[in-house]
Amino acid sequence: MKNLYVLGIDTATLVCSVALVTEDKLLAEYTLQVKKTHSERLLPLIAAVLEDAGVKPKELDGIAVAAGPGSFTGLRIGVVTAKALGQALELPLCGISTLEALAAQHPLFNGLVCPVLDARRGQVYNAVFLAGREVLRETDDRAITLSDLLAELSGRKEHVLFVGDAVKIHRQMLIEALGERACFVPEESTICRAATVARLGLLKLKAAKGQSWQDLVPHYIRRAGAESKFQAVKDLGRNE
Amino acid sequence: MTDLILGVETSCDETAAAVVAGGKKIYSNIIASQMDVHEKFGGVVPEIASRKHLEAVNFVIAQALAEAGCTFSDLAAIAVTHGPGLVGALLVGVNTAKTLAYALEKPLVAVNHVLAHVAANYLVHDIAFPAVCLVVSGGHTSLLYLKARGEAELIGATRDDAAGEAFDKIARVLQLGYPGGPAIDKVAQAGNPEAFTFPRAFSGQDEIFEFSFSGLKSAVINTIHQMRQKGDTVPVADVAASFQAAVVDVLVEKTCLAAKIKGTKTVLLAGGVAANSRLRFCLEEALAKDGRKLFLPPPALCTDNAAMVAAAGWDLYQRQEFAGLDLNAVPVLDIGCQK
Ligand SMILES: [Zn+2]
Repeated sequence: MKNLYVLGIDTATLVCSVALVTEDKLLAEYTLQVKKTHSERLLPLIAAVLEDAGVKPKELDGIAVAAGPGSFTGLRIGVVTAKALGQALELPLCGISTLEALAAQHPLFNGLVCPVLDARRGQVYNAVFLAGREVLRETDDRAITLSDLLAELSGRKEHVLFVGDAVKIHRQMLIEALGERACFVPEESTICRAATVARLGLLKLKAAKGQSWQDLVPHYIRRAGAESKFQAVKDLGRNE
Repeated sequence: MTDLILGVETSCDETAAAVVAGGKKIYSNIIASQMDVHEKFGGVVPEIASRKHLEAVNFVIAQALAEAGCTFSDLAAIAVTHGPGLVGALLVGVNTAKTLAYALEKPLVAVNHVLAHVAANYLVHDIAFPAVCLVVSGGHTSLLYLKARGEAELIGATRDDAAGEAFDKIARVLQLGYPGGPAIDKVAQAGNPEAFTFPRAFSGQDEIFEFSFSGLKSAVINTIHQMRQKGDTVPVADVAASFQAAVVDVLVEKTCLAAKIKGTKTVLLAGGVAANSRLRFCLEEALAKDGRKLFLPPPALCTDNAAMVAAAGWDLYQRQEFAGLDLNAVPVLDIGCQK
């Protein structure tokens, strides 16, 4: 059987990452963490990864993209690019949870992996995973206040590895709440990487769990600001 | 060799794609409007617009190709609006178009939305250049001098609100709904345009081609509020007609003056507000007095669409002014500026 080539894309946070994987190899990966818009960087990065790996766009077998949660604009740039590749090249697509991809980078940790991404408005995007040979999900992806998350974790006994871009904002609070159960790794081990997104995508695609360009949308978790305000006003009206 | 351009437009609240041959013949022109979504908010909500564009854009493109009876491989190039407009909305079209261009190995051209409005005229008229063009819409009020097709020079723009924005605002205060342009046009038919004297900003020597509608907007709103405070019924049709007359007077005066100074026989009108019946009528009449001729696109090509983007893209394609894979959205984009 021919090797599957899967392109991975992650633009959910400040990081812009693109990778090309096959079953057992990471063929190429470029990961940028610079203050430059993903819109300018992503496509040139995709072109570079494919060219440097000597693989033509038409030779791809699928695209995996971090579909959320994350920055709304960042997610859209990644998902829109994946959709256009899928449409032009007639390829299956795969939306991967940004949080799951972050957790899957730490399979050998002994305890819970707890990705936290900055969601502003006093919340983090988070899900809790049990590390192991296969990373097991314990909660859905959600937006949650740090204090609610810590209350949840305080009832547990395991060590908790925090990863994601909100760690540096809340580090002190995490240590205060969980003591030595709160674990950290250096920042470079906690950023989103497209290689993991591509690997998870490859597994899903092999299990025939791909999507088409028609179906793939970002998983924003939150509604657009105006929409939730409008709904609140409407609900208020209904109650009166 | 093919001359088919796929145009993609997502700068505001319409997701659009079109296939146009040789910058002239429309093979398909698909528009998915989000108007009803934004109507309840009384204006375009950027985050919602961006989300809707993402959901619609690939379908709209597929439909444009299907209706034109062609496939991606038949295309000569892909044209996309990269500004001006809402940044999040523009990003959807820009990233979609450039990714398609990369994957299909087709050239990409980046179109200025205002010049796309101008190009809507080229789809239906054979224009004798040079010409002056007035672009009026919810987002822009610009006077352009056109040396030839695709060669535009900005000679005047609004210093504050776009004409269409003023229409939306006044329509909201008069509770006529959104978008305001067609609503005001309709009720104004039954009103007296001389019932109220609202200010017309013709401004001084240096900025004769600059527009300003914020003063007019405040004056109309103040008048309405004063009547409401006194408990008087607001004569909606008269207010609408008088407000519309003030806007149209300024637009007509400056456009005629521009044509006179630039010495052009041809004047073009473009943009959503070009569909306004009073503007069309008064401008045509004023220009005819000096022996000048007015051209404008049919209403469906005045509002945002992608056929006009493909038409403007054709000019860039012919001049081989291609965009790179790093093309970005430019929310504030000047005329004659490619990056
Ligand atoms: Zn427009």
